[in-house]
Amino acid sequence: MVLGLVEGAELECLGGSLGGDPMELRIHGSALSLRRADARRFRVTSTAEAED
Amino acid sequence: MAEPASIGIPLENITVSRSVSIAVVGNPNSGKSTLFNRVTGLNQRTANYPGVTVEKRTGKLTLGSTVFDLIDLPGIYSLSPESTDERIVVDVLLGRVAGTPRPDAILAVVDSTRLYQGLFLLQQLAELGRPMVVALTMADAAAEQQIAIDCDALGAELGGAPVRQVVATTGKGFSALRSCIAEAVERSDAETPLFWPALRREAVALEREVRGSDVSLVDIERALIDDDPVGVEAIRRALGPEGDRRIAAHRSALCGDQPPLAVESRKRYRWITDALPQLQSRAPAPLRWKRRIVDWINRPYPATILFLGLMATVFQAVFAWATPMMDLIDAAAGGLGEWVFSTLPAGALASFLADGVIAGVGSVVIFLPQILILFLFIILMEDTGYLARTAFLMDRAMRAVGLSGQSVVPLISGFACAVPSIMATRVIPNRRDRIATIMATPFMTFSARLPIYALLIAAFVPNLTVGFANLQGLVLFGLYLLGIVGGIATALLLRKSALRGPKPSFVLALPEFRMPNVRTVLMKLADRAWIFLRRAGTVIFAVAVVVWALAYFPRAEDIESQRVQAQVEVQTVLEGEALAAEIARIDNEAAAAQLAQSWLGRMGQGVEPLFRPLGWDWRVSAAVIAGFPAREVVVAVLGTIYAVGSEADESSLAERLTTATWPDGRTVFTLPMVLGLLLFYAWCLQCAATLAVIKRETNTWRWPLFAWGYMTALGYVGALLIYQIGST
Repeated sequence: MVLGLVEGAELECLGGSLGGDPMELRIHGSALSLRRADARRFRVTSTAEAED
Repeated sequence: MAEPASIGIPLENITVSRSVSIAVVGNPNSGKSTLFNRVTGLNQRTANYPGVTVEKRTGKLTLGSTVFDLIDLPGIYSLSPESTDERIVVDVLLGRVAGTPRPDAILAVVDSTRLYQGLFLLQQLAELGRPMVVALTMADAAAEQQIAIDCDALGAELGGAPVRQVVATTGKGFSALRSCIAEAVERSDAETPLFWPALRREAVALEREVRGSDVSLVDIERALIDDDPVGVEAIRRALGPEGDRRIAAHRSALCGDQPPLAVESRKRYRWITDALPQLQSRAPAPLRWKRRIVDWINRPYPATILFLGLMATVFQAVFAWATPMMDLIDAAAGGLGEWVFSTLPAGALASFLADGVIAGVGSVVIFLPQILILFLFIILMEDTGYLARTAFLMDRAMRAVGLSGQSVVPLISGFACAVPSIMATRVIPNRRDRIATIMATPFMTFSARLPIYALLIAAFVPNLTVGFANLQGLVLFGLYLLGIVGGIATALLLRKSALRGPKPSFVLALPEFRMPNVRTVLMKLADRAWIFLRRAGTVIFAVAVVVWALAYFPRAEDIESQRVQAQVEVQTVLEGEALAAEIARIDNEAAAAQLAQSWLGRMGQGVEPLFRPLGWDWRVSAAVIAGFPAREVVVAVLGTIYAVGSEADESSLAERLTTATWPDGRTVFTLPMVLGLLLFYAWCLQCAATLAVIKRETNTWRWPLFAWGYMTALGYVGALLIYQIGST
């Protein structure tokens, strides 16, 4: 939350660690990592869909 | 009449200087410490906050007639404390720490390339209503990524605080920053911006109810958001019996039924998302070769190979590069001891100085080379941003054993010395993970176990080649493996029992790679070395002196007179080298006889029944007892007890051990007994400094006592099983 994972934040997925977990995200230019179990608690839509 | 004598100082040079305290607060990995070092120069000192183990670094900056006292605070992302480090920042900023006055001004440090996250803390700091200067670091990296920041607009949003872009590693922009600091504290009319007005409204409403006590608006705001017992307690007390209900009522007026922390994040990031386009513009960064290399290295497989290669290098360095320096220190301590013996008359004083004090100091200093090398690597990893990357990479593997990615580096540093490693666990925010890591760390085979391993393996494991490996090397490797297995099993068991709890969420900022600053690295290194000498050094030294006293007293006069008499007799029959050897033999025999009737020897005989099932005679028992506070001394005690002298080289001691027998003639050091002894040393916790540091870091005696009891029991049972099974 404190690192800016809030509603309306734009994310870019950069890939994962070994086996894809945890994953690496870029949010407004800075990279952070998130475990899949935690990532599951967020709802993400792709920006392409949002514009349609 | 004579002129009054001049005192030599022109009047205009005498000024009354005043002192202003400034807290340096910023995000982790923002280059805050480098900036602090550059602003204060070498004019700094390290102390401790009362009651906690967080280091307090302060430095002075003199501008004109004003002396600024700067306090470097640990890196944080927000004012909601989650770890010990974060709590101390909040407490210092709010003036809750005894001996540290509330800072007059704030120097906020934020990474230019991570303004999105930095603005969260900047909002909270601006709302404190204290004069503030903002340093945006990594201006060079921002320029490279085509990020342009409008400093004036940002300053205006933050209530008129001056904002300057700097490069902490090169010093670019620092003269402007210094003059900002000088000016900022003069301003007293700074308005306090409000980014979440509703919070301030509720705080003002609650303040009316606690009127008459000394809690500040900011204290109330933090208490409304954080369920932090320290902050809430003061206000609850001020509110009287209705306290809890009142606080809850204001919380729900502010946030409804949502958790206040989540509401705060949402509100503040909403503001950031709206304001950011006006404050910074970023063009798509060109994909440079540097970027491509970094991206490739960050892929899972290259990253894993790089990590393993790096760890192998660190190990190689810690063991190979440090050896010449350690030999040098050893030789210097030995030489100094001999010099004492040759200059002072033989007796308690000479023995105390040489075997107690000099050997004690030597046993502390001898670890410095390894510790310096290990910490050089860790600090480099930290300052290049690689440490966070490691945590990311190893998280899944560590989670399988109930730890988190952040446990990797403390565990690896455990191979050199458990004391600084246990201090390094502070980066782990979750308390359960942290304690599990602390409990696993002493299992790692640190360097003090090596001498006894080397001695026993050289003496009792045949030097055979098995396949393409050497059997002695394999046994040593197996002992390391045993340590790792013990540590991991312990962490796993604890996480399933006493430290059971939900898996904490793991959100970790991954900083960009960057060049470290040489001066910052060296200063951090000196800091860690000093911490080791002070924390571990004093304990190890005290223990060495106590063990010396136990082994020296009481002196038996008859042994001494027999020794003198025997040496006089031998002089009449022998001469030359044979005489010198015989005299040394008599000296060693006498030393062994003295030790046998010393308190330490008696203790060994007293506990022999306890260790007999493990196949240990009283000599081994006494050496093990001597090693309990600090196992460095075990080999020296064995040397004295087996009458080859404490400075004996390993081969003569090893030879002596193989011929040691029980009174009935059976060999003491049989293979099952040696394997059991090795296992005991692999698992038991024999280091008073480690216990002391566990106590400090967990703030209770429960964990160090548990660690000691548990590891000793484990070592005992392991050795018992091996000996009993192996001997039948």
